[in-house]
Amino acid sequence: MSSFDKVEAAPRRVMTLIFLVDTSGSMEGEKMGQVNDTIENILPEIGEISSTNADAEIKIAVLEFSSGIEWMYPEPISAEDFTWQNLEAGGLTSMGEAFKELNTKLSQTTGFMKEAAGSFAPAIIMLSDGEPTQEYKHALEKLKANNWFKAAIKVAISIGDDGNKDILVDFTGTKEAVYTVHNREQLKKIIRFVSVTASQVASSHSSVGKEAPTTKQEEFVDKMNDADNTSDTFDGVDIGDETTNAGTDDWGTF
Amino acid sequence: MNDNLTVFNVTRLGASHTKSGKPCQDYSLSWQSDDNSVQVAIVCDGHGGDTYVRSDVGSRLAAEITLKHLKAMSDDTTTYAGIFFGRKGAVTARPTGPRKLHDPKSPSESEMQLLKQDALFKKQIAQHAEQDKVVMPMFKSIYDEWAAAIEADAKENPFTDYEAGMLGKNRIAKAYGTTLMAFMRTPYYWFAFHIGDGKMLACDRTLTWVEPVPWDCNCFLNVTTSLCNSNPLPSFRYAFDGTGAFPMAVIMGSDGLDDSWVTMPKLQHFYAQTLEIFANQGRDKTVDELGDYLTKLSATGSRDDMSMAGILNMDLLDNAFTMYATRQEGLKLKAEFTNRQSEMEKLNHDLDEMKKNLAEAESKLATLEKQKQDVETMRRELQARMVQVETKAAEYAEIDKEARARNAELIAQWNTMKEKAKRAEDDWRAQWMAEKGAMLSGTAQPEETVQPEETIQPEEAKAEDPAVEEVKAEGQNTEEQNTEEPSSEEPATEKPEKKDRTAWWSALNPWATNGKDEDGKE
Repeated sequence: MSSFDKVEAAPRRVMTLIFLVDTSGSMEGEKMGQVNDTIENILPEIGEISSTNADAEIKIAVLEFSSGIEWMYPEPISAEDFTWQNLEAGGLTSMGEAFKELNTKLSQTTGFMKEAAGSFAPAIIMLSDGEPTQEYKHALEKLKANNWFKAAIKVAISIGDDGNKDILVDFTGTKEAVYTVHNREQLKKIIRFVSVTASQVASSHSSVGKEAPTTKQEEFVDKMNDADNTSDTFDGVDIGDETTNAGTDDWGTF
Repeated sequence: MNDNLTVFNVTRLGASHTKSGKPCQDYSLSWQSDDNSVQVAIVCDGHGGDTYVRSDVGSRLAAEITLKHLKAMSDDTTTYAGIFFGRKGAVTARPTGPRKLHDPKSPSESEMQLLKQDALFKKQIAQHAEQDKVVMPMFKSIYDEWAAAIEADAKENPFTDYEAGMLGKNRIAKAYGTTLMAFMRTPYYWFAFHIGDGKMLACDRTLTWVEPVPWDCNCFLNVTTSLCNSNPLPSFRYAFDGTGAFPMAVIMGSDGLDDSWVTMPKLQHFYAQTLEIFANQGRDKTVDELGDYLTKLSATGSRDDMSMAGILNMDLLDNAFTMYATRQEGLKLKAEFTNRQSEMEKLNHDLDEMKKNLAEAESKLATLEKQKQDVETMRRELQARMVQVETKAAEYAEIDKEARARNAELIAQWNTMKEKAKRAEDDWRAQWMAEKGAMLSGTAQPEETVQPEETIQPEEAKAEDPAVEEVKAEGQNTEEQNTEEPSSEEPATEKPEKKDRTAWWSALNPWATNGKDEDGKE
């Protein structure tokens, strides 16, 4: 019997998984429906990762952007307790507003990261099928100066040929974290794989020096590349800023 | 005035290192002078990344070299006691040049933190330039000696192929990367310094915790400043106090600890509980149990190596916990209040959502109400039209009834006329047969000649029907014609007679045309 048995149990740290979802008019129909269905269906799996992972609890936040921006819930919610609310498409693509809002929330004073020691860097997954309809560069540059954003895993999924991949590469900081999908089956597979892998990598602990060669982003990309070489998850999916499967878009009838 | 001071240090291998086979990369030391007048505690956290193949050696060397320098410092009362005595202060990490900002007009939050830290440094260094001139050379000595020691280690123990592969083209120092923090208490002052992450906390008699050495915001998440940086000296930050305000306890822990406790209040509470155990069962037993506990904590927490070291005033600990218990109760109440507030905010958010949904529903309801009114108006119009239709239907029924009655009358009249016409025709034919027969046979009458019915009909009936009269007249004309102009060359045929009868028939029967009856049949 140790006197330290009376010490209360240590809490777990938190990793926030943030979905940035384009809900502009062009997403209407199959694209929006598939995004809703897929994310809703992978939530239990992310909840399972969260509940069995000793390193961190995974919380989820969803920011949708169209003519404006809106968080699905005002604060991140534990993956086990998260209830997905179907998103509806319509309006413009205010990507700049989304970047600005994300920068505000990736903050210890005004946002989700109230305890630095208690927070792992987040994983941010952006889904978009088009281009911003407003100025976005200033907001993105400011976001890129945010330490939380710098340390985060950033992934972008371009839904169809029309997504502006230059912006997505600028957002993720690497071509290797930009995936272009051309039909709903690919979209479903890639959302699931990216979400699960990013959650696993981002919520695990590692200690590195200031000039360390390995970042969470690099670790994530390595895992995705391994999966690309060993599974059929990425069949037909374009990785990077080039579209080798151009013209194969098939989103059914709207 | 001799306080009952004690020191301790505990280091345990992290759970992830047990699994990966890596050595413990933390190192801690504590030391107390023979006369109990000087105490030192040191914690070094060797980096865990794959490049840092000898960070376990780097952390040990850093701790040992630091201890040596601090002992020398405590012995050199001439230099150090003089500049610290009667003064207190702290100096944070110093800027190495102008900051490069993404947008100078609108710096990000992390850039603002760096700018504030730079401004704080300028203010602090202006107040403590004298101390800085003495302290910085000591840091340089520690670093230089550490750099020389790791060079010597690398020569004495050349890197294996695996180590060389992991290190790659990086400098040798990268293989030995480590953080370093130390606290020294002397009879005249205390002095502390820190480079890198981990947490050093000091508390007074009320168990109120503070960080004596300012935090460096260059340390963020798993990125830390380090002795292995190419220019580590500006990253040393320090604090001193020669005013007699010695903390009741100082505890420092590697980042494996603060990562496990997640929040500063929880880490402070753990340290307070540790002090209580020290007070209850003494140093040696507590240190033993603490070692076992840190192993368990690593498995359930950060999985990193764990190190704790500290300097405690055991005389003061006993009385501290009554006050602490009261304060903890207050904190619990505050936490509960915060939770309630949070729940309230959530309820307010839900309420806002419900209001929004209600407004949408009311808007839809208003639309439905309008549609309902439109439907009601349409229904009234429909009813009015139905009344009109029923009235018209009644009128039509009356007209129909009259028409049917009139039709029945006309049919009756028609049947009467038809009967009369038939009789007239029969009479005419009988007469014709008789006449023709007589002409053919002289005067003789054909046998079985049927007398025309006309002869037996009352005169009134004949006169009543002008059509009959007409037929009769026509028959007479025909008779006269046939009588006056009998022609053997052109005998009378049925065709002209049929034609004449058809015209006559049509005149009598308005419903039958072109030889068809009223049902349209031939």
